[in-house]
This record gives sequence, C-alpha cells and structure tokens, in this order.
Amino acid sequence: MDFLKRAFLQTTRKKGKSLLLFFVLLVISTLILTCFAIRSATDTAALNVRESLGGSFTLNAKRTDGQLTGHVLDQIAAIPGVEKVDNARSESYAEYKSTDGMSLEVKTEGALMGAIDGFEHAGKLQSNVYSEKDEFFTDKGFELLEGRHITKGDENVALIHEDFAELNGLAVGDTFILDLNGQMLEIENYESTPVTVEVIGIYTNTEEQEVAENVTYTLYENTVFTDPTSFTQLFDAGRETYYSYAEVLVNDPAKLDSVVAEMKTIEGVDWDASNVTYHDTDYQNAKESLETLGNLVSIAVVIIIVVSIVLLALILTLWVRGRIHETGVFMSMGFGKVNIFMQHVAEIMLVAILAFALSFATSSIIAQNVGNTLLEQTTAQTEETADTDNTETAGTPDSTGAVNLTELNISISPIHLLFVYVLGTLIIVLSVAIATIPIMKMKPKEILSSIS
Amino acid sequence: MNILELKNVKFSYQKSKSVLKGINVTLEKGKIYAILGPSGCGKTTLLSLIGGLDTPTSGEILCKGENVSKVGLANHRKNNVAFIFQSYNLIDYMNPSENVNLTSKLPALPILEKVGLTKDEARRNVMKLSGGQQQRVAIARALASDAEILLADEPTGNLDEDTAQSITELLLDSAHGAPGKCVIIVTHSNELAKKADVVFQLKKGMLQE
Amino acid sequence: MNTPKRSLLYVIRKRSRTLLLFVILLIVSTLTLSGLSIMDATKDTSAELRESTGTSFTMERNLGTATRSNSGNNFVYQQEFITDEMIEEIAKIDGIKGYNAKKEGLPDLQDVNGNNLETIVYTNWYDDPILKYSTKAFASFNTSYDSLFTSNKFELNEGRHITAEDENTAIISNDLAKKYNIKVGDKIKFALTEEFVAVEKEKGTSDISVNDVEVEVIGIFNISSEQSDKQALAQYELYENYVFTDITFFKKLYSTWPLGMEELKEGYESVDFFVTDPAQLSSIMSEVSNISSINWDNFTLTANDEVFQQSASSMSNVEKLITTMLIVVVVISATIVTLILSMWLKSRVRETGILMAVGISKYKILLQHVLEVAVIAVFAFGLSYFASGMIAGNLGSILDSSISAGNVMVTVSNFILVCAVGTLILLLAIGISSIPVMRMKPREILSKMS
Repeated sequence: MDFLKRAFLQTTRKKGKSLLLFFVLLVISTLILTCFAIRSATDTAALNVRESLGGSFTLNAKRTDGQLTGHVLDQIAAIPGVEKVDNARSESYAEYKSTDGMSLEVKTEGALMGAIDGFEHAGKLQSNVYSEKDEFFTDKGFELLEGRHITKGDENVALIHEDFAELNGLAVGDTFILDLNGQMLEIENYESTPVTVEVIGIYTNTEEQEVAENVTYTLYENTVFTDPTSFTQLFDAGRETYYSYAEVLVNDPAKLDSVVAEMKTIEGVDWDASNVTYHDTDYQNAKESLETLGNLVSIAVVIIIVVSIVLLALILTLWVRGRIHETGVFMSMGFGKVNIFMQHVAEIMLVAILAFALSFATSSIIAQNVGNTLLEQTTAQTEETADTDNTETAGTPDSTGAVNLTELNISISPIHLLFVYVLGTLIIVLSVAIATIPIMKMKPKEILSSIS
Repeated sequence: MNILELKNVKFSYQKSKSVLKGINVTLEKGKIYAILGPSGCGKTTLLSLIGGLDTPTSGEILCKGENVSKVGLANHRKNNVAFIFQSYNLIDYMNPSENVNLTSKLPALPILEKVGLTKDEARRNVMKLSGGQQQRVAIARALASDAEILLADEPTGNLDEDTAQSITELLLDSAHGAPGKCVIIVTHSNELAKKADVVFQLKKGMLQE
Repeated sequence: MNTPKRSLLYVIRKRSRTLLLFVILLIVSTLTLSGLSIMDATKDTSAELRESTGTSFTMERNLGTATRSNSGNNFVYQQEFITDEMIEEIAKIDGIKGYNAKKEGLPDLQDVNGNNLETIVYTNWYDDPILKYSTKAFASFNTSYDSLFTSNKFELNEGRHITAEDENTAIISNDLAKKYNIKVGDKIKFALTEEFVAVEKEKGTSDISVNDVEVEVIGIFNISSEQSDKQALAQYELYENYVFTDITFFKKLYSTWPLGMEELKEGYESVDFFVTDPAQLSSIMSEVSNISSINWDNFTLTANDEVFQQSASSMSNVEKLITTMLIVVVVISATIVTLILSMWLKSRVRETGILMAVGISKYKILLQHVLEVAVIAVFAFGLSYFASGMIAGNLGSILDSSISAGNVMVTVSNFILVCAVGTLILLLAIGISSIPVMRMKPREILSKMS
C-alpha cells in the first residue's frame, strides 16, 4: 500500500485524533497570522502618528541668486513623500514712487531713528504666490480690509497698508511704482528696473508693533506685498521668476532627511548656498517613544513565533512518538524507513494543509473584529484636489482640515500565509524526523519487543 | 456462609434490550463459582452488577445482608469486592508492590512471593512483566485487599496452558484456603469450569445451575 | 495508597510526560509573564508618547470683560492680573507638571567688575549708546517650560534650567558666552546704566537711579531656529542677546526704578501650565476653573492641545493594537494548554477504569490529576519568574532607551496574576477534559478494558 494511501486511511479513520491535531495546528497558525496582521497594522498606526504630528522644512534659497524657480518648486513637489510645497515667497526692501515718478510718503514718526539714507521713501517688500499665507497675515495679525489677496498667476499687483494708502491718496485700482536706488543696495551708479504695480487690496494690522524699536523701513505701515513676477522684475529684470523661501511639507516626518537629500539632487541649483530649517519638533519629541513602541511589537512578534515553533515541534514529536507501536509493526512488515517517514509526514500534512488554509479565515475574522471594534479611524477628509498638481493651492494650511492619514486596516497578507505554510511544513518535517529517528535506529529485535 | 444474595435482578440497556431477566441466587464464601455462557449473553454485565460497577434496573443485590446501592457503589468496590480482568489490570506507572498497595496497607512482598513472583520481578516495571506475571500481580492485589468477594472476568483468557493452570490454582486456593473468599469466575473455558464448585449457565438472561 | 502518593508516583515515573508538561507550562507562563511586562512597558511608553506632545493650557486675562479706555491712538485695557498666589494655587493640582510665566525687560550687560559689555549685532546702524549693551531679558518661573524651549527654537546645551526657587541666575546664548568666554558657573552683571538712566530722566522720569545686580550663569543655550534678516534687527531683537533669568533678579534690578517695578508688581498677563497626561487635560482644566479663590470672570483658560488632538487617536491605536496582540497570545496559550491536557487525560481511560474498579472514587481520581499538574505547575511557574525576568532584562537592553521602557521588568503583581489565572485555567482545563471520562459509568469503563 502506498504511503499516501495509508496516511489518508489513518487520518480519516482516527477521526478524534486527527481532529485534535487539526485544532492545534489551526490555533497555532491563527495565532501567528493574527500577530503578523497586528504587527503590520501597528506599523501603519505608528505611521499615522507621525503623519498626524506632521513635519516640514523651510528652504532658504536667498543666496542661490535666483535659482529657486517655479520649475524647481514643481520638481520638489514631485518628490515622493512631499505633501506639498507652500508659501513660496521672497522678502526685501523697495522704494515707492507715484506713476509720475514722484517719491511717495512713508511713515517715519516715532521710529527709532530718522529716515536712513536711501530709505527715505522705502519700506519692506514681501512677494508671495498667495499673500494670505504670508506669516504677516497668518501669525502677525494683518487683515485684509478691501479688495483681494494676491493669488497664483497675478502679475504686477500689490497690497498696501491703509495708512500708506491714506498718506498717498491711493485706492484699490490705482497704480504706483516699485523701485530701487544705489544707496539702498550700496552700489554706485545703479540702474534700476522699476515695476509698475496695481493696488488690488488694502490691509491693516491688528497687533501693535513696537514702533520705537523699529527703523522706518521695517514699520508695518510701510510694508507692501507684491507678486513674484514683479519682485523678480524689480531685482533681476529679464530673469525667470524666482523665490527666496518656500515651505516643503512632508507626509512622514521620519522621511525629512531623505526628502531633503533627494531635493538636493535637483539640477540647476547651488544647494550649498541654500539653507534648510526643519520644523519637526512634535515628531522629534515623540520619536523615541514611537520607536520604542515599534521595537516592543517586533520583539513580541519574534518571541511569539519562536514559542509557537517550539510548542508545535513539541506537540508533533509527542504525536509521532505515540505511534511507536504502529511504526514498529510497519517496520516488521518490511516497509522502508523513508516510506514510513513519508507516511507520518503525509498524515500530518493532510491535516495541516486544511488547518493552515482555514487559519487564513479565522485570523481574518479576528483581524476584522479587532479593526471594527477597537480602532478609531480618524475620518480623513478626502480632499478632492481637482488638479493633481500638489504645488501650492489656495487657502491657508489650517483651512484644509484633517491631515491625510494612511488608511489603517488589519488584514492578513498572502505573503504571511505563505510564510506559515513554508515554516509549518518545515517544522512538521523536522519534528517527524526527530521523533522517528530513535525508532528508525532500533534493531529488529527491539522492534519486536516493542510491539508485543 | 452467605455473602451475596441476588433477588430478582433484572437489567436492560435500553427499554427494549433486556439482558438479565430475573436472577435469583445466593452465593457463599469459601466456594468457587463459574458462570458460563455464549459471548454477549450478559456474563460481564452480571459481574459488573455484583461488583458494584452499575445498578440493576430492578431487583436487589445484597452483600452481607446490606443492599449494595445503600452501601454505596464505590465503597462496595473498595471494601467488599476485588476485580481481576482479562488484561490491563495494572497501573503502568507503579511497580508490582505499589500496585498491590493500591488498596491495601499490608506489606506487598510476601503476598507477591505467595503468588509466585520473585523479589526481582516484584521491583520490575509492570509493563515489562509477561502476561502471566501480570495476572499474578492482579491476584496478589485482590488477595491483599481483604475483600471477601473476588470477581474474575476471563482471567486466563490470554495465557498459555501452563500459566493458566497456575493462575487457576491460585484462584482455587483463595477460595478454599484460609480465609476463604467467594470467588466468582466468568469464563468460557470448560477446563476452568470443571474445577469450580458450582457452575452456572447464563441462558436467555436467566441463571441455571 | 492515598491520592497524593498516586500523584507523586505518576509524576516521578512518567518522566517524559512530566518533563513535557513542565516545559509547556514553563513556556506558556514565561510567554505570558513576558507579555505582561511588554504590556506594562507599552502603557508607560504610550503615556510618554502622549506627554511628548507637550500639552498645556494657558490662563490669560480676559480682555473681553476688561474695562476699556482711550489713551491717544491706542486702547488701554484694565483687567486683573494673574498673581503669584493664583499660580501657586493652580500648580498644586494633580496632573500639572510645570508652568511658566514671564516678564520682559531690556537690561544692559556688564562684566563682574561693572564694565559695559557690547552685545552682538550684525549691522552698524544700531550703534547707539543705549542699544550697544542691550539684552532682552525674560524673568521666568521655569525656563524649561518657556515656549522658546518647548518649541525647540532654543536648546539648552550646558548647565540647567531656571526653576522657581532660583535667585539671581541667568541663562545666556552660546554666541554671547563664546564672545566673552563665559562658562557655566561664572558671574556677570546686568545693569541700569548711567546712559540709560540719563535718557529716562530726559523723557521725564525723575525717580530712577543707576543699579546693577550680579548673577550666576547656570545655563547656556543654542539657537536651533535662525531668525531671518538679522541685519535689520536691533541688539535686543536678536536671539543671540536673549537672556533668561528669575523673578527675584528682576525685582532686585528694577528696585531703583519704581515705574519699572510697577509693571512687575502687577502680575502676569498670561501663564502656561503643562500637564503630564494630555488625556486628562479637560478634567484638569475644569478642576482649575472650580478654584473659588480666583474670579474666573476676569480670566480665560485656553487648551493648547492641537498636537495631541491630531495624533490622539493614532496613538491610542498603537497602544490598543499591541495590547490586543498580547491578549490573543494569552487566550491561545490557554487554549493550547487545555488541548494538550485533554489529549493527555483521554489516554488514561484504562487507568481510570482500574482505579474505579478498585474502589477509588471519581473525585479522588480527579484530585489526583489536579495534584499531578499542580506539582509540575509550581515548579514551572516558579522558574518562569526567573526566565521572564531574564527576558525582560534583555528586552530592556535591546530597547536601550532613557525612557521608562528601558526598565522593563517582571512585577510581583504580574507574577501573582499569572499564577492565579494560570491555576484557574489549569483547573478548568482538567475539569473540562475530565468531563467525558467522569460521565462514564464504571461499567462502560470496564467494557473498554476487555
């Protein structure tokens, strides 16, 4: 009788024993699969924590002399792991003139010193793609009173302070000129490239500035916001629009270093002249605890697998040893050792194949239940971004609501099942081998006496 | 002296299957009784009832004048009867002495020697003894237990002729020797039956001499 | 032969079975104990994770209920200030781990001998006798809870933070320390200089005189977040010239300038309180708002827990997942032990038959099984205490973190728990697996034997 057939008979006739073995194998493989699933889920949950803590860096490209162009920003935004590139901006100082070339008035009263040479009619010039995202509006209390903010695509526009507007009789729709002079830049015989801009909005400040601690050209009232094109035209006419600063937001703060490294491979920018400042304090604070939790899980899984293997091996060895009598009988009948070995393996495998297969279902059920009852899915609002372009979009960062989190689910992957099958088969074969070796070594006389 | 009395003992497994249909018999100490009958006729069942392994469907079994059920089956088994089965009599993790001392506090060795075991054999692992030796140990345990009734179910079934002979002698001795026990043997060996004092036939649920 | 003796004989004679059961019980109980230790470590680490979000609440003067008056172009608000007593009262509450409030001033820097020291500047536009030696000083209760440190803009490099008990101490920047070769432990001075006093007198203040106070430098900080446009900033605006000091020092320094002192005496505009467990924030805040000695109409309490809110559910997910896994392990271990025990007991049907035939009652037989397992379990559980202790120790060194998880250990209460529950499970297992045998009538057992 071929060993497969004998194995089959054995398994089907001795239902009680087979059922027990089936149960044990089912339980152990369910345990391992469930642990794998939970472990993967834990990795995702930890990722969620990192994602919710967020991270970004400020890219300071002032000294790259205009190399941070819109094109480069697009490339940065395309780096995997970058959530978006935001608040591209520049800042400097400019002189203000009316359209007929007359210098405009700036506030000087109460400032630290009198007007400084070259800055008599100057103030701070901010350039933004979206002016509503500028720190002045988001953090320092500036508020738009009339008109609208600067937005992507605007060219030759400006926002001015209400006091500046009143002082110079400017209203929304009027135009004036932004200019530079040699004294400001400390360049002799400087030839400027003035830019005409249209006032599209008037703002005011809601928080007091310590006027006495500022020079005239840093006063809020003398600050003008303009678009990047105008800025570039003013400082570097004829060049492609460039920026001095940008914020890069990443999905996973743990990846900040790698994102920065990849960014620095973008050609056309002298990265050594640039400066990166990380904003990942929350992540840094949480980092150690998170890593520890991750380690705890890994260790737990390793222990569980090792223990399961040992237990399984023990049980199987027990199982086979209990069949000594039978093995002796077969040997006395002349069946080869390999044949008998294969039979025992086959008996167990017949049960194991079913048990492992079923464990996929049982562990999936457990995983599902755990997922549904225990876990809190943060309702990540699905942002319908009409354009897949993840460079700046309108709206301040706060208004977009919930952070995008990777979906958390607990599921068994086919790879895990494969692992269980392979490892399980290995252990079965090994255990049978270990258990039958002593029997195989018996001399014929011993076999006989073990039977009777 | 009467030690056992069965009064109209009936037993059925289910309502339909009636095995014992009214057994009436009195049994004495110092005698060997053999119960013969075809396989499956209920011999073992009868032995079980006498031994307190189960209760009759109707009727009474009195041991030393007391109803066995009232005494308590476990107590009855402990104090009044001793069993010897055809095989698997012994606890595998105890040696012969310990098996004997399972129910009795008497020194085991003399009793074991009395039934024909050597000192050496008395210390061996019980599973390593031959069939005959194992039965000897079983008898030794029964003797040591002080029970006045010995119940044997095919005690020599697995043994060769010579060994069977010696075992039978031991059983006879335990009945006829001192103190005489009431020995009841279920068997289908006519040889063994010949040696008994009284032979019963169990036919159709009724006992006949 | 009594029951204990039978149990003992079984355990001793059936060596391989005993060993096997011992090993299995040892493995399972060690696994469970280690699992419990990991669970404890997980709880502690999760608490620390929550704590790392630096959750706090701010108590501020309620400008909404303040009285408003005009003063030139500006509004002036008059509202009750937060006093030291109020702060102390609140700080007593369970769960609050620290707080900070600060006052600002612009004292001048001097060395121990009273010589003015120029502070750092990146442009010469501010070459002004008043500004040359300026620093911006913050008198604080606990600098470790100052927003400049908690937001990691500044990082304490050497020395230690200022606490509420410190007097006449200072923390200066790395840049300032390097410039004048100042080390932790050195003494420097801050002053209301002659020049400053002169300017103030010109402005109309008559009640002011020169003063200087010596302080000990107890800490040096690094600037992690650069300011932009340093060339446009005055000395006292530069991070490099920021100085942290204590309230006592301020009081001492401005004691010669009553007008300056006025501000100090008033109290604080806002105070930040930090909590240990963000999950407790709302209960702590409500406890604070119930303090009767404070008139809550005049103050507001604002929670600063956005970071925690965002990550709270993810954090709790991590903890729940790990806990679940360990529970699954325990449940399955119990199942396996039960299975093995039942396998075992089934194979002892004949033995049970013999014992019953000999007159030993069912309960005594059950007791025998219990004792057999009990003897083995005692040793297995006992050994598992040490085995899991070893594992916990190794765990600790693998994790090697400065936080509490590095102290993974097997607690006595966990051990007792495992023993108690383990015993319960074993009893149940034996009970359950004995049911089929126990329900058999003796006669049935007999027929199984022939």
